[in-house]
Order: sequence, then C-alpha cells, then structure tokens
Amino acid sequence: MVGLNSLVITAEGVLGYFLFKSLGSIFKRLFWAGFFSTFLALFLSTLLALGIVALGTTDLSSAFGLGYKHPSKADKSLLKFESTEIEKHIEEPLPEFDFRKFLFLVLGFGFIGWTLEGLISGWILGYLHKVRPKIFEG
Amino acid sequence: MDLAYLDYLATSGKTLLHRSPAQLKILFSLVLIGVIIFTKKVLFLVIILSFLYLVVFLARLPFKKTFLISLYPLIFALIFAYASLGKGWEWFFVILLRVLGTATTMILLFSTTPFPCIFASLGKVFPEFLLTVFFMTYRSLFILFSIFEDIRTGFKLRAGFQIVHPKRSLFNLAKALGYLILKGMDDSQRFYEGLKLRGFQGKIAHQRRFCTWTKR
Repeated sequence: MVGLNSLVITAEGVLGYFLFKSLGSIFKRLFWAGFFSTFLALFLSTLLALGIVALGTTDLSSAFGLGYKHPSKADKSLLKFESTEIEKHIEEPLPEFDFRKFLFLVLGFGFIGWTLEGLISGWILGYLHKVRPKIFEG
Repeated sequence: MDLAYLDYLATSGKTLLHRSPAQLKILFSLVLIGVIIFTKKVLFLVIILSFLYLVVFLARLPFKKTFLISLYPLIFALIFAYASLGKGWEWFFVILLRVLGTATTMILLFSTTPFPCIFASLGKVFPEFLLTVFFMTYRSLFILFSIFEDIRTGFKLRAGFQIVHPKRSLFNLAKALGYLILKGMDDSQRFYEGLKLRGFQGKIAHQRRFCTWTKR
C-alpha cells in the first residue's frame, strides 16, 4: 500500500513538472500554466489511483479465464464426489463493488480539490516569480 | 500539526507503554494491523477497537484528540465503503472499522514511541541511507511547522480566511504558502551547511538510550 501510494505521488510530481514545462511555453501568464499543470497532474494521478483500485477489486483470474472454474448446474450431477462444503462455497455470491459509484464520487469531490489546488498553485508560482525569479531560470 | 502533537505525547509520557521497547511495540502494531486487515466480522473488530481504546486510556493519552486524529483516513474510506454497499451493511461497517482500527494502532505507536526510537529500531531492517532520509524529513517537518506557526499568525492578522471573500482569502493563503516554500528552501540550505560544518557524512548515529525499558 505504501509502495502504491508512493507511485501515485511520484507520478503526480513528475507529471506536474513536465506539464508545467510544456504549458509554460503555451500560456503567457505563469498563473494559467501553474493552474492547468496542477489540475491535469492531479486529474491524471487520480485516474492512476482509480486504476489501482479497479485492479484491486476485479477478479482477474475469471476475467482472463484462469484458475479454478465453478461447475455449472448442468455439470453438477457429474461431480458427485464434491463435498457439501465446496458446494456451499460455490453458492456463496461474489462480493459486489460499485466501481461507477466510486468513480463518480472520487471524480466529483476531486474536481473541487483540483480546482482549489490549481488556483493556489498558480498564485504561489506568481508570488515566487515576483519575489525570486531566479528559481524559474534554466 | 498533529505530528508535532503526537511527538510531544511520545516524549512526555511516562507510562509502562511509553517505556517499553520500541521494537516490541512495532512488532505488536504490525501483528495487530494484520489481524485487523484479515478480520471480516464486525463484532471481532469492535472488540479489537475496544481493546485499543483501553490501551489509549492506560497510556494516559487524550482520548478525544486521539479519536479525532484517527478519523482523518475515514474520509476516503467512507467513499469506498459507500461504493461497496452492494455487499451489505455489515461489509460497510467492516471497512470503516478496519480503517479506524489501523489508524488507532498507528496513532498509539507514534504517541508512545519517539520518532528517533522508531528509526533506531528500523536500523536492523532498512539501509542506513533510507533511515537518514527519514530522520532528515522528520527534522525538516518540525522546522517547517515552527515557520508555519509564524506565518499562520501573520495570515490571521491579515483577516485570515473569510468565506465571504473566497478569492482574496485563497490569494492570501497562496502568498503565505509561497513564503513558506522560500523560507523552507533557505532554512534547508542553512541546515545542510550546519551539518557539513559538524562533519556530517551521510550517516546519523541513533541514540537507543531512551528506547529500552530504562526509566525516564
């Protein structure tokens, strides 16, 4: 979990750096370059985090046809040697996770956060440029 | 802010839990977290959480503050639990209790064990370089906290955050954070120069004197 969190945060920083570098030449005002690079970096890193959650909540073995397959009701008569415990396990419904609901909530709340963070980052960059422009050289 | 508070609790406490070896507490926390993660019964999780709150009480830690800090990770967990409602209400509470239990365990560890003791105990597992990085980050955080306190006072004197003037408030906050970045950069440079002058060669000797059963 710590490793995945580090991955998401690193991706956020690296994406922010490259986006700011490329957007800096497009936008005349530093504020907008800072705003859009922060907003997009946060949006993309949230997608990465959502991807990790999606992988963690998806049964990949069944998606790729790997691993043990539960026999269908038609095949049941052929498998008389199976114990009742295994049958009980088969009948147990797989847990559900509404990924669309999760996506909607995370992106909804995230949008407010990205906008605020983008605005603050843009103004911070403007302040730093005014006070110490040497940081932006090279 | 809370990190500094937890550090204060860890260094000022004198209970048996505060005096017990850091390695033992780390091991106990890891085992407990493992149990919490693999438990699927609400009742069992409630029992574990009750036990943790009993330990909080025995360690003479402020219950209200400890509980409030443990609620932070619940914000994200609530979204995850809400999306998992298809599995039933029991699962919803299992997710929340798991998060609450894990957070309380970690808070208990950090509020009864000073950070240098944790780093000294981790020395046997992690490389020296990584521990130095941890220690430097820990020191830097406290330096930044003290700078931030001054900035916060200045920010409040300049009307602080006003909901009726959101743009102006955010703009002032951005300027305060910009100043924090500049001050942090300057101080880290001074910190590095100070360490170099004292012969720092990328290695910090950890003091284990306060990390054992000995009296404080």
